[in-house]
This record gives sequence, C-alpha cells and structure tokens, in this order.
Amino acid sequence: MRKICYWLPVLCVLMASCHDMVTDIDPENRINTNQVFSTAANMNTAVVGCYNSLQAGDMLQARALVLADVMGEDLVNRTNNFGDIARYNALSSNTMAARTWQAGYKAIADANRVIDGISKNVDKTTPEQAQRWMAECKFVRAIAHFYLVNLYAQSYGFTADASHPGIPVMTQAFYSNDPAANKPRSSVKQVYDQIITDLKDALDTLPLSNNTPYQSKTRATKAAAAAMLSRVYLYKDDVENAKNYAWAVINKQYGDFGLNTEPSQCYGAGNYLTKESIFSIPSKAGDFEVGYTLTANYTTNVDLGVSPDFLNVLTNPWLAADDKRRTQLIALHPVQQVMVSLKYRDVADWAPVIRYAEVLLNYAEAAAKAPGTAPQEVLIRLNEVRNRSRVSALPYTNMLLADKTQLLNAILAERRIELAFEGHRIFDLNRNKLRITGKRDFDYNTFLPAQDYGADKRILPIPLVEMERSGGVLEKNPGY
Amino acid sequence: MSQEDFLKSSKVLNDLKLRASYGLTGNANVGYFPASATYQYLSYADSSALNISTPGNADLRWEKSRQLNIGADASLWNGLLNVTTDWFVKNSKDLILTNPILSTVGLPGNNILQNMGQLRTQGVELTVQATPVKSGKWRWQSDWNISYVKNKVIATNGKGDQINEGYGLAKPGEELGTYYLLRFAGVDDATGRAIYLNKDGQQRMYNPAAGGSWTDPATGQAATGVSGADKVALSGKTPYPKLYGGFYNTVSYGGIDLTLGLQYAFDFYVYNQTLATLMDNTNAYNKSAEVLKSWKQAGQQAVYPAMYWGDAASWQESTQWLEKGNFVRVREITLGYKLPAHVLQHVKLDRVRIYAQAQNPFLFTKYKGMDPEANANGNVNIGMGIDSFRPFIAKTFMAGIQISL
Repeated sequence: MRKICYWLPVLCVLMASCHDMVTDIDPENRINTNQVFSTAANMNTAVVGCYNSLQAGDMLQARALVLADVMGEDLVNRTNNFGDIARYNALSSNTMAARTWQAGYKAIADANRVIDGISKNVDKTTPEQAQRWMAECKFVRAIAHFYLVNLYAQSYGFTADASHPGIPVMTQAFYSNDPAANKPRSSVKQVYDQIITDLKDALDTLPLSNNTPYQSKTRATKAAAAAMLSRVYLYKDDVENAKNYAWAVINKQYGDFGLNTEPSQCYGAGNYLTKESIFSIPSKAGDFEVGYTLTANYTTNVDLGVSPDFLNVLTNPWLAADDKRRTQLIALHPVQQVMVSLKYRDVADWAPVIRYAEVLLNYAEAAAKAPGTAPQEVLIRLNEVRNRSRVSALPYTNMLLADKTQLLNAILAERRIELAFEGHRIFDLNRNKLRITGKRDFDYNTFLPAQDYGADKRILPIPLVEMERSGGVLEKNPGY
Repeated sequence: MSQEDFLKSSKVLNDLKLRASYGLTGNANVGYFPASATYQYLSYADSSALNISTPGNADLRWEKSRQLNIGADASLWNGLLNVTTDWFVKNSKDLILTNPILSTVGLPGNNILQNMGQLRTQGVELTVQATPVKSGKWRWQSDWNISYVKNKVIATNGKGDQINEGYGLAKPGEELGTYYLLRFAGVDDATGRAIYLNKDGQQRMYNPAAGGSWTDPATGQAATGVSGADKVALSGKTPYPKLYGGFYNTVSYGGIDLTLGLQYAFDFYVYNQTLATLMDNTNAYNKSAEVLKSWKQAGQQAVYPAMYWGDAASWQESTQWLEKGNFVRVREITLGYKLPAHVLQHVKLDRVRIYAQAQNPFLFTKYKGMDPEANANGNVNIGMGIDSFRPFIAKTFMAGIQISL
C-alpha cells in the first residue's frame, strides 16, 4: 500500500527558512587588527614586526646577503646548494629567487601597513613618537626595496638615465587582494628616488640612539639612515651626496663610531654591540629558520668555501699573506679540508648589514670618483680601514697610488676584502661594470664562463609565479 | 516501485526503488576564524614583535552546493543480485578557495581565502552485489562498484582568470586541477637535444652547449626560446581519476574463507617530481636508473635528451614528467578459518576465527614512480597529483585470531 506523506513538504519549507549565523567571538591567542594600533605599546611592537619581516631567512638574516656573494667570484658553491644561481644559469622558476622576492615584499607591505595604522591612530600616542615609528618603517621599506632592486635589476648605470626596468615600488598599504597591488616594474631611477626619499625622511625623524645599545644596533637610528644613504648614492654614482652622507657619519654627527682594533672583533657572540656596528639584523636561538642563516651556509653545512683565487697572492695581490683578515677570518676547515670564512660561527649569529668600515670605504670611493678631491682625503680613510688589518705591508701613499685609476683599484680591492661574504660582491661588480672572471664551479676545478657587465644572469629572475599571478603586468628579465 | 501492481508478481525482480533528492548544503570547513584579520606575537631576537597572522576577509560567505541525486535500487532473484545506481549533479558556488596572490600584497603565505569559483560536478555510480554461488558449503559473494565523476569549472573570479597553483590550474571550461605545463615534444634523433612546443605549437630545440641556445628544428635557424610563458592547460589531464572503484570477492567453503579485494582508478595523471629531481643535470645527487635511456649516439631514438652537465633547460618542468597514473591495486588478500561449532561448544565461545591477511600486496601500474596515489600537496583544490619523493603505501602482512564470547 502506498503511503503518501503530507507532512514532508511542510518540513522542507521550514528547513529552507534557516539562515546563516556568524560568530562574533575573537580568538584568544591573537590580536584583532583594530587592537594593534590601539595603544602605544602595541604600536611599538608592530614596528618591531617590520624589522622581524626584514629578518626573514630569505631576506637580511641570510639569503639576500648570501646570494649577493654566491653570484660573485670569491666563493665556491661546494655543496651545490645554490645550484644554477651560482652558475649564472637559473630559470625563472628558481625557488630561491622566488622566496627572496616574496620575503622582501612582505617586509615592505608590513611597513606600509604599520605606517597606515599609526597615521590613523596618532591620537593614541604622542606626535613625535608616531613620527619616529613611521620613520623606522620607512627605513625598513627603503632597505628592502634597495636589496631587491639590486638583486633583480641591472645596476643604475645600465642605461643613461636608469630608465631600464627595476622592481614595483610599493608605498600603499594593502589588507586584501586589492588589484592596485598589481603594479608594473618601475624604472630603476624611480626605485632609487623612492628609496632616497624614504631614507631622507627617516634621517630627519629618527633618533640618534634608542634606549639601549641593543636597540640602537638592531633598530634604525640617524647613523643607520645616513650610512645607508651614502651607500645608495654610491650605487647611484652620485658621488657628491655619497661623500657628504658618509662624511656626516665619519665626522661623528650621528654618533661616535669607530673601527675595532682587530677584524675578528666585528663578528661572533659578544661582538654584536661594538662601536663599529651601525645596524645589524639580530638573531637568537629558536628565532631563525634552520638552514637559512649565514652560519648554516658558511660553517655548519660548509655550503660555501673561499675561492683559492681570492686567497692566492698572485691572483689577489691585495690580500697580503699576513693580512689579519686572512689570518683571523679565514682558515682551513678541519673536516672538509677546504678554506672557509670564520665570520659566522655561532648558531644564532647576527648579520652585519652596516658597519663603520663600509662607511669609510664609501667615503673613499666617492671621494676618489668625485672631481676635485684632494687625494690625501681619500688616502686617510682608505688607510684607516687597511691599517687595522695590515701587518707587514706599508700604508698607501700618493707615490704608491699615483693616478686615479690605481687609487680606485686599490679602494675597490680593499672593499672586496673588507666586506667579503657580507652581501656586497655582486652589487660592487655590477655597479662598477666589472667583468666576472675566474669563477670556479662547485668542484673547485672547472672555471665557469666569464660574465661581462650587463649579462642577463648577473641578476636574479623575476619569479615566474609572480609574473603569472600578475597576468603579464610584471615583465620578465631578459634571458629568462 | 516494486510494490506497484505491474511488478508485484515478478519472480525475478523482488524489489525496485526509485529515489531522488535535492539539497542545498553549506560548507565553511576552512580552518579557524578565516574571516577575521588577526596579528600574532613573534620575536625579533630579544624583542617582541607583532606580525600579521591571518589577513581575514570580511566578505567571506558560506560555500553553497546544490546537489540533485537520482538513483535506483533493485534486488533480483531473492537477493542473489542487488544493484544500486545513482546519478548526481552538483553545482557548487562561492567555493572558498585559497586564491594565490601577488607578493606585493605582502600577506602571509601569499594567498587569501576568497569565495570564488563555481564548479559543476556530475557523476554516475553503480554498485553490484551478487552471490553467484550458493550451494551446499560453497559460497561466493562478489561486490563491485564503479564511479564515473567529472567536474568542470564554470567560473573563477569575476574576470574569468585562471587560477594557477603548482602545476595545475582552475580555468573556466576545464576540469578543476587540470595540469598546466610546458609541452615536451621528444628528443631529436640526430643530436639528442630536447624539443619543446611553444605556445603556438611550434617546435623549439635547445642546445645546451656554450651557454645554451634555441633553434627551430624545422629550419635550423635561431629562434626565441621556450619559457614559462609557453605553458598551456592540458585539457582532460587532471590528477583526479574519472573512473574508479573497487572489486571485492569472498569465496568460502564451510569454515574457510578467502577474500580478494581490488581497487582501481583510471584516467588520471601524476607529475613525477621525484624522477624530475633525480634526473636533473644541475645537481650531484644519485641519478635514477632511467639515465641509461638518455640519448647517446646519432640515430638513436632515446626517451631522454643527451646528458650535459649544468643543463637545466632540457630537464625543466614539463610534460616530460607527466605520467598516466592508472592502476589496479590488490588491497587485500585474506584467508580465514572459523572453528566449527561443535569444537566451540566445549569452550563456551561463540565464535573463533583464525586469519592471515596481506594488505596492499600488489600494485599493477605503468607509472614509473613509487605509487600513483602519491600526493605531496595534500588535499587541495588545485595542485594535487604531484609525487615529490612520496613513499609508497605500506604493504602489511598480519595474522590473528578473532574471538567472540
């Protein structure tokens, strides 16, 4: 017997009228965005969050610095950990290139959001404090743009007016998948202009020092902004400005910095807060990604060995046999039996981003390139860096370095040795339009083909995944 | 339906039921607090830092699925043969997918949960349960099921963009998770060089010597090389089997029973990332034995290009590593013995059965990797089907005793 249900359709109608309900409970272990900028203390912690993003293993804790040296000729990629990048043969799908790009833009985006958040909540703190914090964020934003534009685009002098493609310049805060974030690559000139604007703003507003020496070395100060400006202008070939900003730091206008007595005193536990350190990225046990630290690549895994040509007095006569940077900072690894750098041996080693020695070298190079500078000015600073490390060699004199070319060669050679393995080499090679020769492959025996200035793979590829997601707005680097 | 007058007296058909259902379900099974924007405490060495944790999405809504299901159950010959069949079509709207976004937005993980996408899934399922032999102490019971499921992305975001993730994509008009790869067109017999197809389908050959150069093999002239921009959506090739099911058979004689269970899946592809990494000529890892099939001399029809140290382009991500994953797996072989009743009477036990079982003992597949069910990315909407050093499903051998009191 067939039964017909009469109540079934009624039930269906009732069920269809249920509507959505949304919970309004906040999670316990996180802060809702609108509370982040509700107190001064939280704002400060949010600013530290920007530095924390800069501290990513793929950015300034390690990778951005390591890749700069891996693409130079002074390291041997002995475990082949860096594969194609070290061989100038990467593809646009290269994972390391993608990760550093992402980490850099994360730091920039965080800085933009904190600036936005603070500017909308100035009433919760004092105007001076708000300005100071926004200046710190601009510093983070500038540094991140700077490393990215030098890794992913050709140097400033590649075209007459630096009109060649750089990277997207991001100054707007985004909280969602805003189509405005899909910006094309600005020209290198535009990127540098933004970096300089941000650093100058920061220089005006940042304090001379923060509360403690620890805070002064790990957060931005006037000295950090000025030193960074000297480097940015040097890369831009604006030698007058480079010289002036470097001089301001040397002249103790932003604090009393000086060189440590021994080169080894610049690195390692206990040496992070010396008078030579201007800005470093700190580290701590548990606060780093395993494998993504300078120590991991240079010491623990011995991924990177020092090239024999860097150490050979015939191929590198500038590094004397008794130079302290050789005797104190480079040694034979007991197990692997290869020469390695000793700069980063502690598990939670800090990354030296700006050191006083670099400021002296910036000054020397800018002054040497500037017309009308007395050579003596240059030599004083050059010798200051070199005297700390030379033992039996004689100091440089006007007689020894008679003309401008020889002087510049000496300065660049000194920079190569002093800042070795600190994330400078490929940038110095690119901006001085030098040819990369004599680079060894991971087996120590094969030499890689020489790379002329402007070669496609002297810079990293714009990541394929980013180009795809931009729907063609981001243009690729030639050769990739 | 078997109660209807015209079927009531049938001696073959005992039971026949037609059924249909239609429902609207919601789903928000996407983690905790996906809609709210939150920050979390991290550390910048010794200092405390606040960093964005989830970007949230105030516009997030329930996913909506409307499913229509029509099926029939039939029972024939007094239960000797039972057949169930279902046809369904399901329209899903506002799928909550992780939308991969640009790094310049700067949100954690570079993805954001959004309601996007419409998907239509259609399928047919058939289950047959039969007892072919039932005489005396012999019994043979057989269960067979098969499903055919196909989906199609109706829309993604408002602009109809394709959403890429890994080697797959969601593109309107294609199946969800369709592979998106560069097309590999084989190895040149004369020179052993790799040939790829560019976006327009033209062949391009790569010569790794002297920094690498590309030519058009038809004319021998230099040509623009192939790059990531030449990837195409490979219609019909997805990581999801379109045809799959199982086949279980149990034969028993008295207290002895033997079960054989099979599982099968057809019409799907796996991206063999493991092999791609092991064949990579830019690292010094051990190589797969497949390197023996690389090109060695002129005129040889080789599977893989000539080996050349440092050559990344001839071995890059492409259909070279996409393989059919079709397989038949023996899921279970079990042999058991139930102690007869007159033995159990003495020990007052209700039932004792001794058995030996092998799980996943055999796998029949042409897939070169460890296991065609490998999946490095877990349960994602797009980007499944990548075998990156995944282990095989373990073979287990066990024996035991089941006792009922």
